[in-house]
Amino acid sequence: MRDPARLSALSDIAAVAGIGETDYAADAQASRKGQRFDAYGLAATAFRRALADAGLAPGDIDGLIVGPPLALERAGEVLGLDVGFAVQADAVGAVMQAVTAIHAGLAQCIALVYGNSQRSVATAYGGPQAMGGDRFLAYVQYAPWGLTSQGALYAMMASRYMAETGFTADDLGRVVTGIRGFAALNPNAVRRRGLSLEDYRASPFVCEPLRRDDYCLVNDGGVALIVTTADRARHLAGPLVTVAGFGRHDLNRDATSLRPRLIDRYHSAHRQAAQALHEMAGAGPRDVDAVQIYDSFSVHVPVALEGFGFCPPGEAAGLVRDGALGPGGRLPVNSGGGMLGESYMQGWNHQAEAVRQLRGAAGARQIGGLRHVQYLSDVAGKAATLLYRRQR
Amino acid sequence: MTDARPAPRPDALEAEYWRHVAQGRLCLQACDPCGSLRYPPAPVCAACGSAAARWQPLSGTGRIVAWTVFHRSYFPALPAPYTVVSVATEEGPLLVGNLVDHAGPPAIGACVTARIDPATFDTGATGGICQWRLADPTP
Repeated sequence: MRDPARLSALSDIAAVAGIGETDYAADAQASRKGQRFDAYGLAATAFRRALADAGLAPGDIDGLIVGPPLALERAGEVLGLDVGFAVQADAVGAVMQAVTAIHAGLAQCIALVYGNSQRSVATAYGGPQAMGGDRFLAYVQYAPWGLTSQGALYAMMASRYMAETGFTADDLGRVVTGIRGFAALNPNAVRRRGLSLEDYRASPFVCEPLRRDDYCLVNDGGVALIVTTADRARHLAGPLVTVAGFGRHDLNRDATSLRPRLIDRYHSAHRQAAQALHEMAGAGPRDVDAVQIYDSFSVHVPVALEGFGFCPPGEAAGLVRDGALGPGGRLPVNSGGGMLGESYMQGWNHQAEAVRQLRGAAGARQIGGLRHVQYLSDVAGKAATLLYRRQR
Repeated sequence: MTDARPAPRPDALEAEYWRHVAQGRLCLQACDPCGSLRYPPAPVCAACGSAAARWQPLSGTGRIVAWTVFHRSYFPALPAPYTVVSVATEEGPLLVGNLVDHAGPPAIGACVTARIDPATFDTGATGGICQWRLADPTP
């Protein structure tokens, strides 16, 4: 069992001192004209920008966390980093590990880097060799029945969710149009043309009930974060944004049979992760001003909001119908456009956007009065969450 | 091989499941000491850790837990639209299959029955595949 007293000692000790991202919109246009990108090159661009953002130099970096699909050694080689602390992790895992490494004294200034050339290399997210099938058996187990995509798995979750809760196709459409509305305010978003509910309804089914507009982008890009001690970050330029808390809980039993996904909608994991974060940060849903939700598919949004306690289970439709989640709402979701509209960086772009919003640097899409932004994810039943806090 | 399906995952325990199906039987591993049924096939019981199990035939009845309708064809044997369902078997485990002989989305909770249909796989192998049909097909 986790030890809340020990975990709370990690709250606010680390800060995100630098963020860097590639030019998703411009690069997507170049892609359409035939340009190909290198994933390590994209990560290097993001890393350089994050360092400049933090006012630091490569020599300041003493730790490296690399997000798959990049390989740890190759990323270190390309970036020129020999370090004493180095691990591979996904977006939320990277931030958690950076905080714990800093707390443990393993490193003081850690580069978190990610790059993905999925469009250039035409990564297959469906089919018998679907990406991720080596880690999640459900992605490939059901190939004989023609079920080989993550989209289909989320479509099955959606069909049951909608039948059980009364969440409608138009509710799902409003989730998408809200996030796409934020993307329209983001000059770096790939999908900057807004999406109306009429457009959504006309979008063809891929795996019914999910439509093409319920699926995230596939584009090339890179993201980097520089995480250092709060003490050090306090002396760098810009508002101080700390990691106030985190939580994670994994559902593995019966995973391949889809029971946690379809019957539980991962809620038992959401609750554990949410509680861990709440204990560590001393803050809960009522303290959160905006959320970033891992949105590979639109249905993630209502399910995560319910599971992490932003509304009672089965009642996300109320938030949607109140207009709470889109631009101008009281609980904005994916203010940069998320993966449905900005860039499919597997949660990494959500971290950059959270920090940017808390700094007050989000331009036309800036949300006012922010103190806390929480990131929610539950890919394949591993619920993970982070809370970022602006320090006064 | 115009009607070839993707082959099952190449794994020895998985192949035992398909061997039973090829012989006309829907069977799952039942743990010897504790009786738990498991799917997919696995070397030990997650409930009690025992490696001792025998293949137990299922009744072939269940209820639809979730569905999706594919609107694009990715495999020759599965022209669009085709439906994939998760079924809660009477015995408990969830199984995935195609819902056949029914167009469009089914009702969550609808009763279904299993039937093993002939199948050809993209490896060239032939055998069977467990599919599901509505117990009450009337609209």
